[in-house]
Formats: sequence, structure tokens, C-alpha cells
Amino acid sequence: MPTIQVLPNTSTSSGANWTYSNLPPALAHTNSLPSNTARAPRSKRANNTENTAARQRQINSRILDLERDNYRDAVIVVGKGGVAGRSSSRNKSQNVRRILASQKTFANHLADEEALHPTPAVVHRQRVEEEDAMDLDGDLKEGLMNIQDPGQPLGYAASASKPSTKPKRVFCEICGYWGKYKCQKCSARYCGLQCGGVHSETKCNKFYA
Amino acid sequence: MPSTTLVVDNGSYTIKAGFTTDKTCITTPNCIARTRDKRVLIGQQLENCRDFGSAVFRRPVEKGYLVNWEAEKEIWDRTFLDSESKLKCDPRNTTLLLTEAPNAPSTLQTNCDQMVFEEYEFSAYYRCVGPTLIPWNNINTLYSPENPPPFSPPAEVVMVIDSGFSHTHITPIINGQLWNTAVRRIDIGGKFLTNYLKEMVSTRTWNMMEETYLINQVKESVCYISTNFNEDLEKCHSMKKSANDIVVDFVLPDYNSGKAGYRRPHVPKKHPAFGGNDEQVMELSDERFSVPELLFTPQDIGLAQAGIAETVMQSLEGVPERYRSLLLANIVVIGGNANIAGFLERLEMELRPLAPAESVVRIVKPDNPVTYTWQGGVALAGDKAEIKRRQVTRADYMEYGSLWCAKKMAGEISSVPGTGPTGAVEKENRSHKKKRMED
Ligand SMILES: [Zn+2]
Ligand SMILES: [Zn+2]
Repeated sequence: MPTIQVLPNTSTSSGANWTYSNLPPALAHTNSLPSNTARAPRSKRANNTENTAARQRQINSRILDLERDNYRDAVIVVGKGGVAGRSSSRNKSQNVRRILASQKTFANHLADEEALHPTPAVVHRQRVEEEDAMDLDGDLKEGLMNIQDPGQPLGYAASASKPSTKPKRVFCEICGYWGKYKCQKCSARYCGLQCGGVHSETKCNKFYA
Repeated sequence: MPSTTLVVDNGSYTIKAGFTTDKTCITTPNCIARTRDKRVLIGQQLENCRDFGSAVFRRPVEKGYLVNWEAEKEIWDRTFLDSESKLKCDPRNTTLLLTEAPNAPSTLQTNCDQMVFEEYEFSAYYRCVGPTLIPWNNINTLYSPENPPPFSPPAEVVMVIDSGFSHTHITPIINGQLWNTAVRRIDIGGKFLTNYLKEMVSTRTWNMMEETYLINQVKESVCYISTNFNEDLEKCHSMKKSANDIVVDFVLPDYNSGKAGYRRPHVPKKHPAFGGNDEQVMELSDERFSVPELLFTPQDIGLAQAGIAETVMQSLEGVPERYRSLLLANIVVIGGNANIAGFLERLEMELRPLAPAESVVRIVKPDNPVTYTWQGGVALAGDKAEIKRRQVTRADYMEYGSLWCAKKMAGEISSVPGTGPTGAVEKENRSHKKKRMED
């Protein structure tokens, strides 16, 4: 299998504890789809829809993985030693105690925020568009100029970039070259016979076989 | 009265901090790490560690926002209060200028303000969106380093592209103000790129899933942004390695002997120059440009967002038309990813055809794109009247509370309650209005 290049293990005393990739961890986890949904025989169309949905779930979970700080969950406990030059006996305010004890994640805070202030984005975007229309008409009156301001922050969700208008490129999941072919069973892309073979032997989603 | 001002650009990867008086920026990892021999390293302590094999990390700033104060306090205490630290200050006699990412949830802002005043007790404080500090730098020296025209801050119009560890923000700033309705975010940053490279290498050659720190080093030393992606990809997959100038080696570190990893030109394994059995080498070819490619084509990985160039155009739709050409002609790229070779060339190549034909597209990068925001903060703090107008004091906080302080720092109010407008913001609004009339 020359497309997966495994370097010979010649080191005997290295302190490094990485290993060779015989079971690629990055793709291994994408095989962990719920098995009960897929084993029963289905019509081809149902199977395809399911493939697409499963594919999307794989993509989403991969994106989440790529945002992680650590490969495995790790808990680092802090707050044992004090800092020189800082008295630790000071009374902390109620706010400070609450903030320091909080283990909320960003996702938690975001959910709170959305519940408190439902996204005002649409309103603002409309406003700017209206103003531009007026600009073009040359119908700019002083009274209207006041609304042409920077506005309030859009919030996290509304400020995300919108999808690209460029056509999507597809790559071989094994080697990174163009993904000319699509696996009939799991929709994975590969570049040719060789990578296709590697795919079906090691990575193809067996649930859909 | 406070004698010093401390400027802190509190990033998710590093804290960029320093006093306005000595104009030196000190970079501290905003991170707590645990090494495989179970040592816990906090902030600056990470700098002295040579073995990050299998280390794990905890970061108080998540997705660019200061979320976990339990961890941040550990780092801040050691950075700003420890008598051994170069950044030690007496908060009760110090003004703090602190950055945040755009569109921060208000609960996080409140938490931050409460920690600053109730735990650290800084005497005065100004919290602002990082990129809004950029126009305070003399950006004319970036456009024409030889003979910069006279400059009086803030620069009128700057399109800041801030590509950092957690994400990439497109932030138009007009007359010193963040144009909120036009701020756009791409969820690709340095961490994502490192993890993507880690995944790629682990699928193809070495299992590096636990070696985030090392792969970040590899990324910084070998990755580049291609201006001819198709050609480079063909080169890597249809040419012999000996004929392909993209292939490089990264010699992996040997933690036993303390030898650091390094990049070198590709040496075939049978070649006499190959370092024999002691050498562990990672070969890199298309990984070098396929990884940072995500900044310009996030959809390559299935992320339903546009790349930087297209997102700049999306952002421009959110500003009045008369500013759009000005913004295109005044693009400043900052953040760690700005250091990836080929970034500016690629951005210009993609942006030129998207921009109106008559617009000038001008893109610049400061010498140090990581500390440029901090530098802008120092410049703003140097304008004593301006910083005084924007900041809140601890006394204000005690008297009027955190909601009022947040509004004041956001520029929504300019005076103490009940006394009517002091005029500062009103005056500014009037001058803006005047400017618009002249347009
Ligand atoms: Zn392939
Ligand atoms: Zn398959």
C-alpha cells in the first residue's frame, strides 16, 4: 500500500511515545455511527437519504473534534498554591465567588444569551439595505442619516460568515488528492483504484454494506 | 491618581501585555498545561518546558471569549501580581486597558468587569473590542514605510482582518468605531489548523493525535498558503518526490537528549545524508498548503462558511456604500495566522476579482501582527483625554454598578447618571454628522 506511507520503526530508545498509524484515529471515530439504524434492509432511496444525513453527522462531529484543545478529555485541577505577594486571606465578594466557581462552557453562555436576547440581526441588516437604497436614490435626508450608524453588535450566531458561493471541491479521504470517485456504500471520496482499495479494506462504513 | 496603565490583549493562545511607560510587550501563554510527568505549568512557566510530549492543555479563553475565570485567575495572578513577574503591578494604582473579541455574550462581559473591579480592584478600566485599537497605530507607516504621510489617530477607515487562534474576524472600523452590523466571523483559526494537520499526519504517517504542541511547531515551520492550489496539488501527487520542491522533512524532537525538532530539505531515506537510525523524520508535502487552505476555503472540510476573501465582501454589504472602496483600500491583516507565508498574496489574488473594478485593493501586514493590537492600545492610552473619556473608574463602578459601566465603555453613555450629557459623545456624534454632510 504505497499511498499510506508507514515509516520504518528504527528507533529503540526515543522518549517519544507516538506510534505508527496502523489504525488511523482520525477516521476511526467516524465509524462509530449508531448501528441499530442501519442494519435493517431498506429501499435504495431511504438508504441514500440516510447516507447523506449520516455523512453530515460525521462532518459535524469532525468539525467539533478539530476545535478541541486536547485529543482526550483532560481535567487539570488548579487553585492549590498561592501567588507570592498576594494575600489569600482576602474576603471575596459574592460575585467573585460565583464567577470563580462557574464551570459553564462557552456553549452554555451562548445558550443563555440567545434566550435573553433573540438575535436582532435581521432588523439591522434590513436597515442598512434600506439606507443603501436611499443612497442610490440620492434621497439622503438629515433625519434619515441618524439611522446610518454602526448599530448594535449582531451577536455570535448572526455574525458568522455565510456559506461560500464557490463550487465545493472534493478530496480523496486517503491521500488528499482530488476525490474523483464516490464510494457506493458510504459516499466517501477517493482518487483512484489504489485509494479505493484502501478505503474499502480499512475505512468503509461497514454498517451500510 | 493611577500612575501606570497596563494594556492587556487577552487572546485565547497568548496574553499580550505591557505597561504604556516601557512600551515592551510581553507574551504569556494563556494556558495551563499538564506534562506527561504530571507537572502543572501555568502561563509563563510553559516557556521553560522542553518536553511537551503528550501534554494536555486548559485554556480559560474559549472560542476567543474569556469563559473560565478559575483558570484565568491562576494565570493572571502569576502574570500581574507575582513579585517575580515582569508585569507585576499594583492594581489599585493601575489603569487596565483590556481587549475582548467582537460579539461577546453580555454575561461574560459582566463577569469580566466584576473580576476586574471586585477581585483585582484596578483603579480604572477600559474594555474594548481588540481590532478597534488598530486605527490608533500609525498605519501610514505600513502603506508607505519610506515616506509616511502625516498621521493623526485614529485612522479614518480600516478594514481589520484578525486571524487568531480561535477564529478569524472581519472588522470594519470607521472613524474609530467598530461597524457592528458588518462584523463577520469565520470559525477557522490557528487551533483548527493545527488539529487538522494533526489529523492528516496521523491518518497518513505518524500517529500524532496526542502531540498538539509538536504539530503546532510543525505547522508554524512548514505551512504556507498556496497561490496556485491546483498546480501544487498536482505536483504533490503526480511528480516524483525528488522532482517536487514542495516536499520537506521535519526531524522530530528527541525528548531524551533534549534535541529540538527542526525543518530541513527533504532527504531520501537511503541517501547518505539521512541521519541513520536515531533520526525520526516526518515527511510533508501537500499537507503544507492543504491545511492553511481552510482559511480561504472552509468548505473543503464541510464547514458551511465562506473563506476570508468572500467574507470580506459579505462584511462590506453591512456598511454604507460610500465606505466600501475606502475599506478595500485599507486592509490590515493581524493575528498569528497573518504570519503564514503567502497569506497576503492569496488574499489579494482572491479579493481583486470580487471587488468592484474601480476599487483599489490594498492589503498590509504589520511587522508583528500578533502584538499590533497591543501596540494600538498603548497608542490609545497615550491620548490621555481620550482614554479618560472612555474608561470607568472603580469609584464609578462602586457608585453606578456594572450595567452602567458596560454602557459607558460601549460608548452608549458619556456622563454620570442625573447630570446630563457632558458633551463628549454628543460632540463626537455631531462631528460625525458633519463629516457625513460633507460626503
Ligand atoms: Zn487517494
Ligand atoms: Zn465506503
